[in-house]
Amino acid sequence: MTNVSQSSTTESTVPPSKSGNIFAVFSGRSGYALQIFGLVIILAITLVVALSAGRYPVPFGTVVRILIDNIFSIAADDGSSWKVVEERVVELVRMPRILVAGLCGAALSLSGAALQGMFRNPLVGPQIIGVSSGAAFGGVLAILFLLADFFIPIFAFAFGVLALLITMGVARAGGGKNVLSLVLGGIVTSAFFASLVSLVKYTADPEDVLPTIVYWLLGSYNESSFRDVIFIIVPMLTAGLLIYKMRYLINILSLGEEEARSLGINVDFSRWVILLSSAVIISATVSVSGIVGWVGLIIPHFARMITGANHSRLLPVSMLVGAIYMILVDTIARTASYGEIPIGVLTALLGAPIFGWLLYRTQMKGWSND
Amino acid sequence: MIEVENISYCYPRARQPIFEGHSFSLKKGEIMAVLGPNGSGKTTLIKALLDLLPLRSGTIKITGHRSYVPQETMSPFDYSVREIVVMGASGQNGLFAAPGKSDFKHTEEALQKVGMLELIDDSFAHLSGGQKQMVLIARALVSNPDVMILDEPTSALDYHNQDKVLQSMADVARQGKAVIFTTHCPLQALHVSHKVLLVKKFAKSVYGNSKDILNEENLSQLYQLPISRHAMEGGDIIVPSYSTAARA
Repeated sequence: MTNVSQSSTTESTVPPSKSGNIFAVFSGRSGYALQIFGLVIILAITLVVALSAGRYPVPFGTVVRILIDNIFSIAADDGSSWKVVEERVVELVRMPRILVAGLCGAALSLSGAALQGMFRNPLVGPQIIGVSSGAAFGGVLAILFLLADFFIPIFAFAFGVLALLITMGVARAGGGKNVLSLVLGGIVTSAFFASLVSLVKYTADPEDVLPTIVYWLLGSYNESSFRDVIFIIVPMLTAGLLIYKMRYLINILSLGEEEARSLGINVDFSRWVILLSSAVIISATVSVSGIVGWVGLIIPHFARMITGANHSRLLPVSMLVGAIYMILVDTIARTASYGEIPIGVLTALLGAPIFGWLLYRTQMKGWSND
Repeated sequence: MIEVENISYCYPRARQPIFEGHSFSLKKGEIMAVLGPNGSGKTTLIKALLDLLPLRSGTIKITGHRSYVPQETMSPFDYSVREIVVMGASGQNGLFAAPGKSDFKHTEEALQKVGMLELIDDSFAHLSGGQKQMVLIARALVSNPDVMILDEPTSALDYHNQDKVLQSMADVARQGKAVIFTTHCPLQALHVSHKVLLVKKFAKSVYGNSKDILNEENLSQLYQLPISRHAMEGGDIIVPSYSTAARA
């Protein structure tokens, strides 16, 4: 994001570009704090809007008061402040779903940004390492065997991590430990698990089990609970934190293997840590919501437009933008029509044209200038 | 400081080693140029010196920390000059560490040394070739190396920028560090380096003092082209006779 990085300090050499984007205002070092502050405010507003919108609308003011009441008791004793049903809708029906959506958006965007940096390729998304397909297979397997709901995330998680191990194994067997063999390993693994998913669909009972599988695969936060919040928060606090700790390392890895080695980096080990952490995060998101595509691919591009390529800023900004985006899209998914639109369908529907636009931009300017 | 004895390396599936029997040594404050035709294994030698390749035989002993200046650096992402240079420190900080205040201070000092401080917040991708090379040298300086290794640092640069890069190499050597660089320009080797290593594919390398080794016979043989050396007031010059010269 050249416009951003240049505009504040180099007036003497290069005039700031007027054709730059709308975010160029928030540039420079102090700009980062502003960016985070602005995004947190937007996230808070998004949260309130999402909590208020739905088939049973709750006024903004009421939402805010219900939220505040959790911290400082402000409700009147006679229950006249708001209706009980409003509190239930906000806190028990919508809150877990919105939290899960936001956390998944943040998680997918974080791993997407990290993988794009590590693979040195802005076209990479979380699905590239085969984890999504593996986790999807795990999930449908649990559904096929009519296991209790509790097992769906566990299976998804286990097979997601297994898929990563297979990807790494294929890459190694392919003779190389480089990025290309990892990508090829990911493609092989994805294709393999995708065909296994098809096989499960084919054998599933079309009256009963098949619809469940199809709907789960399309992705939805419809049945999200506070248990799912825990299921996604724990990997984020461990694997997500690990990735964040490696933010400067990802900068170096994005220069290429040889250069990273010459700078004293243990490339193989750091790749392992990033891949494994990403796999944990991605499996967790698939396990609570099925496959929600495109988010991990496009959100890092937006984040780069806001804050530049430096992963120490890109990772947090990606998480915030991802959370905002996912909550918004999920709100559309549950309010746009009488029925619920699967969010995986919506993110793809929105993601494809957005990505096309990104491609157009970069065709005009080159990746380095997006 | 640097002791290299009889090293050889063979690429996997290659019939013959790309180089064999290279030996040289370098003291603090000395500069060594590596000269040789394309494909003679100069870059491979550098990778070996950086411990990026498993040697087939021989030993490399380097005391102290080495840092590397690549010919260019390519990333699909656009980093600022500051972000590129501070990477020189990150490599030593460990996998999970963030660069601290002192690392950013060293970054500014290193850029000051190579005269690039005012471009610190510019986009690296938008710099000229010469500026990029100076920034990469600054990045190598940030880690405070004992040995600096540069791969064709001047090959894409105009005369003025070549001179700037050579000057900064000489500065680095004056601070008691050893410098190794590869080049296609024997004149640079003659004027900046104390030692020179001539490498040729499948042949024994020649090593010694620049002034002695860079003679007409050695150079003509190295490049398969008549090359003459002339004494001049400001120092000797080396001139190749291109085969098209007669027609002009």
